[in-house]
Parts: sequence; C-alpha cells; structure tokens
Amino acid sequence: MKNTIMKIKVILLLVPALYMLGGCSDYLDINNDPNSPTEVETRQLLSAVQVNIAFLMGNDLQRMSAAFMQYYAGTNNQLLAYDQYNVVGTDSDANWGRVYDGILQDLKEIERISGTANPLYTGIAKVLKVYTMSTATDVWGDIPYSQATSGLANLKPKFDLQQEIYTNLFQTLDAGISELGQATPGLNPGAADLIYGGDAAKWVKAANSLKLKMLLQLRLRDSNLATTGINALITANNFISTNAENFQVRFLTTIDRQHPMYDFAINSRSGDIAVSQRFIDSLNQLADPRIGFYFRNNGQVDGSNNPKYVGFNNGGVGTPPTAAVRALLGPYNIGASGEAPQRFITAAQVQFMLAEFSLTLGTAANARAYFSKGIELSMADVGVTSGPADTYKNARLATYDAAGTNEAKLRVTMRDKWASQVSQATESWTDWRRTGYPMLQPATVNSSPDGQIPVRLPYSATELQSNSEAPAQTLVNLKVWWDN
Amino acid sequence: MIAWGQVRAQEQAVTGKVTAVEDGAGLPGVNVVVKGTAMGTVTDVEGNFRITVPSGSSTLVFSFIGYVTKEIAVDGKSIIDVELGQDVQQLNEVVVTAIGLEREKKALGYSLQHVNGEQVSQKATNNVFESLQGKVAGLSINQNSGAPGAGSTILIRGVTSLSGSNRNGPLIIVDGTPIDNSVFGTDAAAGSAEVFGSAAMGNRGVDLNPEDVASVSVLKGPRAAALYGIRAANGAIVITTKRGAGANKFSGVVTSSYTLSKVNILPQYQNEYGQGLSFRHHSAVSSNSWGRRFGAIANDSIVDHNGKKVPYQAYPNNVKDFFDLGHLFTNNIQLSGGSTTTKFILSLGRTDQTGIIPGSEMERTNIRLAGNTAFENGVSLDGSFNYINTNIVGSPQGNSGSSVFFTLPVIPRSYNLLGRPTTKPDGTQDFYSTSSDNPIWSATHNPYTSKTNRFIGSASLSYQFTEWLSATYKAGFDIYNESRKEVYGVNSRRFLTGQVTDDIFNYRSIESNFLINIDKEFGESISLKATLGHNLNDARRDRSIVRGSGLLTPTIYNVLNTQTVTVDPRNGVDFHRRLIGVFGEATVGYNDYLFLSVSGRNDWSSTLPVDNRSFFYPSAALSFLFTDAFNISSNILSAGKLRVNWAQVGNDADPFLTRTVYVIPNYGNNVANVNFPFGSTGGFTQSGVLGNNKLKPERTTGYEYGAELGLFKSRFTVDFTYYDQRSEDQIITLQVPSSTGFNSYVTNAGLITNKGIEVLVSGNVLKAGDFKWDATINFSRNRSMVVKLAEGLTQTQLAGFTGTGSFAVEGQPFGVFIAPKFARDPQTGELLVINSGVNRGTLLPGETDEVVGNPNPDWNGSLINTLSYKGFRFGFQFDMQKGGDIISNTIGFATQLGSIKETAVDRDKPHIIKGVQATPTGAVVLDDQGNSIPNNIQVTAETYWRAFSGGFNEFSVFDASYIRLREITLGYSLPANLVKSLKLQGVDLSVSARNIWTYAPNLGHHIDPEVSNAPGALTRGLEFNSTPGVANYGVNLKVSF
Repeated sequence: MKNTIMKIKVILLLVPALYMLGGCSDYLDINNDPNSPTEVETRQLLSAVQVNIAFLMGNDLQRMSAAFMQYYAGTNNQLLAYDQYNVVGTDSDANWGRVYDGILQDLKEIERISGTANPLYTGIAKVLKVYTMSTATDVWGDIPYSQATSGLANLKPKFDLQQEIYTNLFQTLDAGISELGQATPGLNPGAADLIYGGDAAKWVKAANSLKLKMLLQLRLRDSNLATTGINALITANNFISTNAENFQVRFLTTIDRQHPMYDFAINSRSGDIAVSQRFIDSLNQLADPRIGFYFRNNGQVDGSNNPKYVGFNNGGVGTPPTAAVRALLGPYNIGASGEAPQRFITAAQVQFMLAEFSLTLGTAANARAYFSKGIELSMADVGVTSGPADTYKNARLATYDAAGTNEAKLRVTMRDKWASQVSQATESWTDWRRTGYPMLQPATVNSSPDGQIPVRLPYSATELQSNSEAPAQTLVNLKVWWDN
Repeated sequence: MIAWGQVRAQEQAVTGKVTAVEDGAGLPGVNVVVKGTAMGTVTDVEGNFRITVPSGSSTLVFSFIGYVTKEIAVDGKSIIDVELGQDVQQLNEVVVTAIGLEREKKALGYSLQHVNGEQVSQKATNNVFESLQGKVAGLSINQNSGAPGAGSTILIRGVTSLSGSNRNGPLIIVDGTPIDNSVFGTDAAAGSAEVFGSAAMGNRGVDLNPEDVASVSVLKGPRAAALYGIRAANGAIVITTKRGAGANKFSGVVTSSYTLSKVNILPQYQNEYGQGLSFRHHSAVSSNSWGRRFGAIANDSIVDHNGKKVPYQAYPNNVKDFFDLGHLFTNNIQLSGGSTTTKFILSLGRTDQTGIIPGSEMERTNIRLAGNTAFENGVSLDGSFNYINTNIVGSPQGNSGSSVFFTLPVIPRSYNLLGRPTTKPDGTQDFYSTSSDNPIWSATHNPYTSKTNRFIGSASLSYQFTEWLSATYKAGFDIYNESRKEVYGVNSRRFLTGQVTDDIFNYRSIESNFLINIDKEFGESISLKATLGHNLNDARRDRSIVRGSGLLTPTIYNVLNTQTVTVDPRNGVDFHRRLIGVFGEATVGYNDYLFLSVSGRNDWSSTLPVDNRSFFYPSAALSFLFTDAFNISSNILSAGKLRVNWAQVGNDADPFLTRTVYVIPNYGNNVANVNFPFGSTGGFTQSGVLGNNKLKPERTTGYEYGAELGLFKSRFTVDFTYYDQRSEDQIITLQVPSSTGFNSYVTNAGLITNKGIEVLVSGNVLKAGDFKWDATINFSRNRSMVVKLAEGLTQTQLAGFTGTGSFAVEGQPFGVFIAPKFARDPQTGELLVINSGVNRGTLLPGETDEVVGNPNPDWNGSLINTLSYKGFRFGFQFDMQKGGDIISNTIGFATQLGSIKETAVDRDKPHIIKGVQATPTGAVVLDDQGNSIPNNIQVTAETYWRAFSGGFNEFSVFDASYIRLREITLGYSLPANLVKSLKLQGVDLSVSARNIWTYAPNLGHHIDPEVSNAPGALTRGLEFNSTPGVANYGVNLKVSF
C-alpha cells in the first residue's frame, strides 16, 4: 500500500516534467535578436550611409592619397609604408569592402524601400551612388558595377571597364537629377540628411557639380563629351557656388564620432604621421595664409618669433621630429576636437574645375575669373580674413597673368587647387594624374615598381581571393583608362 | 531519513572486513552496496566496513576498480568478511557515460577514456584542464597563455566546425550539468585586436577546482555523446565531483600547495649590437637593433629619445627582467561524512595567484556542498551546489599599441627598460617608442579586471519502481555574472585621453533531464539495459557594455568619471537558445560477452528555421569480448574485446542567423572609429552577413573500430581505436566577395573529415617486492581534410588579418596558413633575387598569398610513468608532438629588427641570399645557355635578414615539434603506523613541477611551441604578440583525517 502511494506520488511529481515533451512551437520561437531589426526606415539608412561615405573619404583612403600628394608624411607603421609607395592588395581590402558591402548596398536598400513614391530619397541615393562609384573607379580602374550588389544572385560579379562604368554613371546621375526635380518628392529626410537637410535644390547643385567633375575627368579621352556637357552645365549655371552649399558631412567632437583623421593623428597613431616638409615649404614659399589653419605649429617659432611648422620629408629617411616638436594637423583638416567636415565637393573646387575646362577645352579668357573666385572661396572656407586673403590672391593673379601659355596658366591654377584641397587628398591625386600638376618629385626612398608616384591602387586582395571572375592583381604604376 | 548509528527493528547491522586475495591486506575504498538500492558505504583504511541492511533477503555487492566484483547474500549474518581477487580482465570496471549513467566498460562499444581525481590533483597548476594535458589520447588542450586566469583551448579529435571558435570544443559536464566554457572578448574594435585578445580573456573553465574532481571521463566521437545531444557533437568531458565517504564516519582531507612560476621561453637575443640602422644610431625612437657594435667605441654613448646622453651598452636581460616570479598558493579542505544511506561532502577551496606579468593575479574561492541520501522505499536524492568566486587582474595583450607584448619582445638591445623611469616629470610615459606603451607602464596603468560569481548546481530525484525499473528527474543550472572592467590609462598609446569599459555578462543555463532506466535480465544469457529520456535546455547570455572615454581624474576608473559615455554596439542579448530533446538507448547483452547497443535522439532547436527545426539521429555499437566467448585464456592474452560503432550527431546554428538584419553602424577599427548614434542622429546599416531562412542542421557521422586487450595476465592493457568522422552540411559563414554587397553568408556547406587513430598502452613495467613501476603511453594521430566548401568557393578565412592567417581551403587540412610567399623561378624553384634598382639583392614579392603552413600535428604522444617504493612515489610525464606549424609574428619581427641571435652571426660580413637573379619586374635573368644565374649580389646582413622577415609570410612559419617534460612529481606518504599515532588517516608530501624542460628544435628556442595567444580552435598556430608560457615548481601537502 505504502509502495503504491509512493509510486503515485512520484508519478504526480513527474507529470509536470512530461508536459514539456515534444517541440512546443512557441517555446522555440525566440530566434530574433531584439537589437537587430529586419526592417528599418530609409532615413536611418541615409544617415548611416552618409557618415560611411565621409568615413571612406576621410580615413585610410585619404591618408594614402595624402602621402602620394605629399600633404602628409609617414613616420611609422602603415602610413610610412604608403609614403614609400609600398601599397599591396590587403591595403585596399577595408576601403573596397566599405564601398560595396557598406555604402552601395545601403544605397540600394534605400532605393528598394523607397520605391517610386519617394523620388527625393531615390534622387539623393543616386547622387551618392554616383559620387562613390566615380571615386572608386578613379582609384581602382575597372571594377564591378553592373553585376555588383546582387547578393546571392551573383556571387562572382564581373569587373566592368571604366569607360562603361562612366557611361552608366552619367545615366544614373541624370536620372537622379530628374527625380530631385519632381513636384511630388515623397518622404523628406529632414535632419536625417546630414548634408543638405532634405533640400532638393541644393542636391541638384551638388549633382551638377559632380557631373562637371566627371566630365572634366574624361577630357583626355573624350573631349567632345566633356566640351558639350560642360558647356551645357555652364549655361544652366546651377553649381555649388557658396561655401554654405558645400557637399560635405560634418563630424562631431564626441569620442567615436570624430573625424577619422583626428582619431588617427591625435588619438591613436600620433607617432605615425607628420606634415610633409615639402608641403610646408611650398606654402611658405608663397606666404600662404592658410597654413595656420591647416596646421598647428606646436609651440615652435622661428628667429623672429613667427610660427614655424616642423615637418618631415616624404620617403621616411632620417629621424622624424619628436612629438613635442612636430607640426600637428589643424582645425581646417580635423577641427579643434574632431568636428571638421569631410568635404566631397566644395564651391572653390567648382571654380577651379571651370578654370581648368576653360584653359583646355573652353574659352581661355574666362579662366581668370574662375581662378580668382576659387581662391576667394577657399580662403573663406578656411577662415582667412579678407586682408591676407586678398594679398595672397593678388600675388597669385600676378603670377597667373605673367604665365605665357594656357599650359603655364593651367600649372598655376592646379598648383592652387592642390593647395586648397589639403583635406581632399584623393581629389588632388586624381587631379595630378589627369593634369600632371602640381609637379611633384617622388618620395626620396620608395618601392614603387618604377620609382614614381603610384597612379592607381591595387585591387582588394580578399576580392581577388573570393571572386573567381576577378582579374589578376594589378601594379600601382599602371594607369587607369581616363589617364591618357 | 535514517539517523546515524540508529538501527530500526526491521534492519540489521552488518560489519566485516574486505581483504585482497593476493596478500590478505585490507582494501580501503571498496564500495559496499545493498543490491538494488542506492544504499551503501565504503571500507575504511583497514578494509573494515559497517552497513545497515533492511531485513529480508538482501545481497551485498562488493566492488572496487581492478578487482572482481563479489555479491554475497546477507542471510541473517552480522559479520561478513570478503576476499576480493584482482580482475584479470579489467573490463568489469564501471564508468560514467552520458548523463551520469554508469555502464560497465565491457559493454561499451565505443571509445572512452578515464582519468581519476588523483591524476589531476596537486599538479602545480590550479586549472583542471591544464592538468589533463597529455592524459587522454585524442584530447588536445592548449593553454592560451601563462597569465593567471588564462583559459584553454580544448579539442577532441581535431576540428569539425568551420563556424565560430566556440563550436568546436567538447561539451563540459559537471555532475550531469553542462557548463559554459565559451570565449568572447571585450575589446571595442572587432578585427585583429579582438581576435588576438586585448587582455587575458579566459574561458570559464578556469573556475573549476582540481581538488573537487573525483573522475573525468572523456567521451570522444559522435557515438560517445549521442545521448547528450547536439552540444556534444564534438565529444564530451564528463567531470564527476567527489561525494562523501559514508560509513558512519566523518572524515576530511586538507590539501595545500605552494607553486612558483617563472617565465618559460623567451626569444634568444643577440647582445652585440644596439639601437640603430646600418651600424649607426639613426634614431632614438626606433625598435631596430641594427646599430653600432657594442664596445666599438670606448665609453660609447647615445642620445636617447628625451635628448639625454645615455651609455650605449648591451642589456642582455632587459626583456627577461620585466617578468616577475609568479606565486600560486592553493588550499583546500574537504569534510565528508555519512551513514549507509546518506553521504555528504563540503569542500572549501581557495586559490591565490600572482603571475609573471607585473600586477597580474587571480584569486578564486570555491565552495561546494554535495550529498545524496537513499530512502528504503526506493527514493533517493542527490544534489550538489557550487559557488565560485573568481577575480582576475591582468593587462592588455595582443595586437594593440597598449599591449604589454606589442613591443616588449623587440625592444632594442641597448634599451635599459628596467633601469629607466617609466614616467617623465610631467606625468607622461617615458618610452622610446611613440606608437607603443612602455610595458611596465602598461602593466600598471591599463588594468583589466574580471570578477565572476558563479553558481553551478543540480538536484535529482530517483525512484526505484521495481528491481529493474527506475526513473530519475534531474534539474541543473549554471548561472554566472562576470563583470569586466577594461581600463586604458591617460597617456596610453591606444587611447590617449584614457578609456574605461564596463562589460557585464549575465549567463544562465537551465537543464532538465527526465530518465527512465531499465536494467533487466532475461534468463541466464540475455541482459538488457535501456534508458528513455527527455531533455530541455534554455541558455541565455545578456550583456551590458558601456564605455567611457576621456578620463577626467586619471586614477578613478568609473565611467561617470569620463568625458563621454557611450554604449557599445554589442550591448543587449548576446545569445539565447532553447533545445528540446527526446532520446532512447538500449544495450542488449548476450552471455555477458556480446553487447549490442542502439540509440536514437530527436532534437528541436530554436536557432533553426521553423521548417527545419527538428532532426533525428541514431547510432549503433557492438562490443564483443572474444576471450570470454571462445574461452580463450592464455598467459599472453588474458582479455580481449573488439568494438565497432557507427553514430550520427546533428548540430544547430548559432542564434540569430536565419535572417539578414540591420545593425547599428560601427565603422572602423582600432585606429579610427565612428559609432552611432551620431550625435542625436540614429542610423542602421545592413549587416554584411546574409542570413538564411533555409538553414538545415549540420550532421557529423562517425565510424569507429577498436580493440581492448589485456596482455600477460592483464599486466598490460592495450586500447586501440581507429575513427573516421565526416562533418557535413556545416552551418558556416562563408566569405563572399565584397562586390556582392555583403562580406559573408550563412549556409549549409562544406564537408570536413577527420580520420585517425588513438592508442593507449598501460601497465606494470616492473614489480619487485615493494617496488612498482607503471607506465602509460598515449598516442594519437588525426588527419583533417576540408573536402569541400561550397559551390564556387575554394577557400574561406577563419581568422587572422586581412588576407593572411588561418583558412579552410578545399583539399587541404583544416586551418592551414595563407600568407605572402616570395617569387620563385618556375623552372628551378629557387628564390628570385632582384638584380638592380633600389631593392637590389633582396627578394621579389610573390603575386598572391599561398598556403605556407599547416598547424595540425602529425601525431601527439605522451608517456606517463609512476614509480613507487614503500611510501615513496615518483612520477613523470613527457608530452610530445611531431609536426604542426606555428606562424610566428614575434620571430618574424625580431628578425626584421635585428634583435635575435641568428641575425648577429657574421653581421659585419656581407651576405648573399641563395637564389637566382631576376629583374625588378620579375623576369628571370638567363645566361647564354638559357640557364638561370645563381645570385651573387652581396648585401649587408641587415638587408639580408630584412628581406625575409616582418609579419606573417612564408618565412615566419616554423615546425613546432616538441618534447616536453610536462609533469614531474616526487612524493612520500607517511607510514600507516606513524600516521595512526598522529590520529590521522594519511599524510602525504610531494614536490611537483610542470613544463620545466622543453625541446623544440625548429623554433630556435624563441617561443613556446604550445602557446599562441589567439584563443580558439580556428586560430590554431597563429602567434602574434603572445604572452609566454610558464614553468612551475611546487610543494604539496595532503593530510587526511
């Protein structure tokens, strides 16, 4: 009897355990990470992608270009390697991944989610896509585009020819401009648009400025296209014309939100970077008043108690100046606490581009006004007061006028474009490849195959490893298509 | 509950003595159990026992490992003396298999190896897993570093899973409850700093107390763990903790050990040349040691990085002197007692350790209470409860400017690290390097602390329905809270303004098991043991990770004392999974010499899509004791068993992989970083991982053939196993080209095979009078192969830096290294040497990165010897490994910078790289006959060595074969009469040492062949800024009363 009661008690105890038998569906439906949604709003994607583009242009890619264009000099680790033109496929991995996996994929998502009812969003997305892709093809040459960002549908995107990419990009840009001009814009990103706050008119100006840049880029290969296109743009005259309209993303002063060059140069790798002595000498030669905004003299003064900027020569030869002495990056490049913008296209840049066009394909006489305005706008953007700004400008105009040929005038123009683009080194690198100006000597010691400044970047090593359609690795001294 | 000493009217007290047939000596520790119940006791030091049995027909079962079990009916007797004879078969021993099920070893159709508590106790370490090294064939345990609290990477029979390092280890079970042993880091930036560890992040296996361990069963291969389900797809390590002694007595054991640790292997430095390049002092901030020869100039001096003149001389011990002598002090007290029906044990342990890195330490407190009791109505209860408190203090390691080991191994030979101040008068660091922290400064100003409170417990209720039918319900939990604080001080190179990160983990796992057991005999020849079960597991880890940047008051490490507080993107639910399983296993025995067992299990996992959530997997095993069957009994072969088994195990995915999600953006790495929210702007970016809502479970299928033989009257036993395992439909995250818009996608793909053999030979080598010498040899050989990955994919990276590191490559063993190779002449295979230009006389880089090494060993073996003479015992264990590569960044950089010995040999003479001449663009130069021209271009030693070295490349791969004296112990137990006069049960003194001798000829004695600081199975063999291992010397005392 006792045994039976015991057995019953035990069975009753075990019943609750039994009810758990079997796979109760609800009990197992817990496989969604509460912090990572499967659907988001386009405005969230837009903010993220704009910061991502700024990060792309402001971080490693800028440092490489800045080493090539001799704005900065490397004193240790990777930046020293770039300074000596020691760039390999693995150095392109992060930037390449950012372009495709980060930026282009998110832009595609914005267009997909927006559909046809939100042309303001899709227009903005197209402009950003064209900007990113044009920069990418400028540095890498032939790259995937038509078959890219297809996910599982195509795991081996083929590499398109640069010429085809440019043709495609012009079409996309025009489509974008048309969408930006539509009467019913759909959703407006507002403050989520960190660049123009949802102002479609400003986006159109940026798009036109981008188109100008791209047409100019092709002038060595297709002067007709460039001439016709740019003349049409000049007639419409709807470019970025004031610094308030600059196409840029501004960073913040808080940790992990600062301009990546600030993070690098001040927070984590101050021992790796110095200002290029060549750039300092070049600015000083022309008594350029912007130098104090580009750099900080770190307490160093010369005999007459004027600020002295201590840099380092490109090539990594000799002992770099110590941390206590070397010139540091200044508020124009990185902000006082990291809040500098990453500039994509500025008003000054537009003027210089128009000057270059005039001197090469257009009416040469128009160039002087553009050149003068370019300097003015740059000075204003930097924050130089009108007195010193005008002094410098007049001196440069004198040199411009003294230059005999259009080619010589172009040289003067491009020298000033270079001096104004210290925070847009990749742009300067493209300019130098296209025009040959400013005239730069390669780094004193370098491991480039021909001893010259590189003219392109190697393909991403991981892309080549994982994509069987990819071509073989390329060398940094092989020109891209438009670099004729 | 029956109180001690009382006897009820229906019961009877039985006493007696158990002796060994061979010599009549009393046998302590013999189990005396009332058959069919859980009531029992254990004989004391003289072999006496006392037990209370219910009246009526009771039978006492006397069993002891190595002896033949005897059953004796009580029949009203009050005194029963028993003689036990040695078991020539040694196959009657009972072992713990899955879920605490006990089975006789002879019935097992699969490979299982057993280690008892003695073998892991007092072995000059406080880490249970470290003391298991070399003791089990096929079980590979790698200490992650020599720092206190550093965890271990545990593998059984090679690597089977491509996804995630935490999915390759065996399931670790303590008293029937699986416990968490995963590894994850706190460091902010994912990428190389996280892979290679920002601090001594251990896994929680370090919480276990070696003195609590009664026995460890290692179940290898899928069959051995088919009853534990998917978490044991790679095998299981089943740890049983000590229970009480019982028998109406109260006894205790006090153990105490004191161990010294010293740094084991450091690079062999040259001390002839100091800081500089090209034989001159070119820079005071360089790590190069290619400068002037010491003594070339009398009273030589240089100007240091502060502008001061300092003597220029060698400091041969500047790296070695950085390390402290470590101290480890462990104390344990165990009290146990009980009656015939109840046993309990209370164990208290304390470990205090300081490590070889200044400021590093670990303290651990273990409190354990366990016990069981049996009622005469057939109900028995068992419970155990563990509280563990572990506190670890360390400093940053791995690949970052603040890591102690970033620059320490390569400081210039002329740099007086210990003899200089570490800070300048203005409070900033004083160190020659501008991109790395002074290691001494870093060890004190970048502290990493981890405090863990852990509770592991289980309770079970069993009921014996009838003699052959019982049921058990067991519930267990593993709950811990780990609080990490990672600090970078103001002026650290990594975070100039300082940073504090608080990373708090809450982990809880609940386990429920319901079993029905059948143990019945049918007639004389058929026996049946079967189990049916239901299992449920709910495991979850939540994480709160907050970071404060910019310390305001430099010494207050509180996030509120910082300028900006942000929440790390990994904040939130880290892991959540639920598993339900039902299973059944039946073993049918025929005449006690032929056993067939089959099992089947069906699991449901929350991490797989609804349609594919349920999966079933079976297994079958056969065990044949042919010596019994054919009545073979010779002087040579006394026992023999053949076994064969086939098993399948499924496995699920990591949580949250079935869909493509959007994540909060976190751009950049340890050099520059941008996080969201961006000011007051929120953002999401699409994850780079393509999710998959058609995921299926993984499957591992294995065959195993084996034999166990007793030779020479069981003086020797040989256990041999051959296994062949296939793991397919791996749920892996495969790399895809970034141009697709993603960087990886989750899919079922891949087929990895592991084939190998395991051999265990053990026995008595010599026995003469009181002298005895036993030896054991373990040998294992595993061959892994990545047979196939996925459609169109031939390789995927597992770990390392962008493009170089460890990879799974189709057609290659798992985890091979891919790194840059130098160009070679396709005709002769000779290296190409550039014949002109800036790089004249050096090597030409290759086109692509290629496979340069294989971290998998050819074989592993260990030799364990135990000699005893009267009260003395002497034991020593050698572990050896043949093959297995390490790719060493430390040796690579030390070579490039001219610090190591090899680079000083003939440094003032010209060097010529052996190879053939080529142009800078890679064309081989040919002579008139069309043959290549051997290189004769002389270069300086500096150019020569720098051509080969720096970072991961083909020349930084080294064969890590080694022989190591793993353990050596000399002990003495006081004689019985002396001990009795002290009113004690036993006193034992010993000295032991660990890892004190190593022979690794191919590493130049520069790095430890076993330590590579990247923890985990996927990063095997990658060495980058690793922390050295240690050699330990200890004295131990054990007193039983």
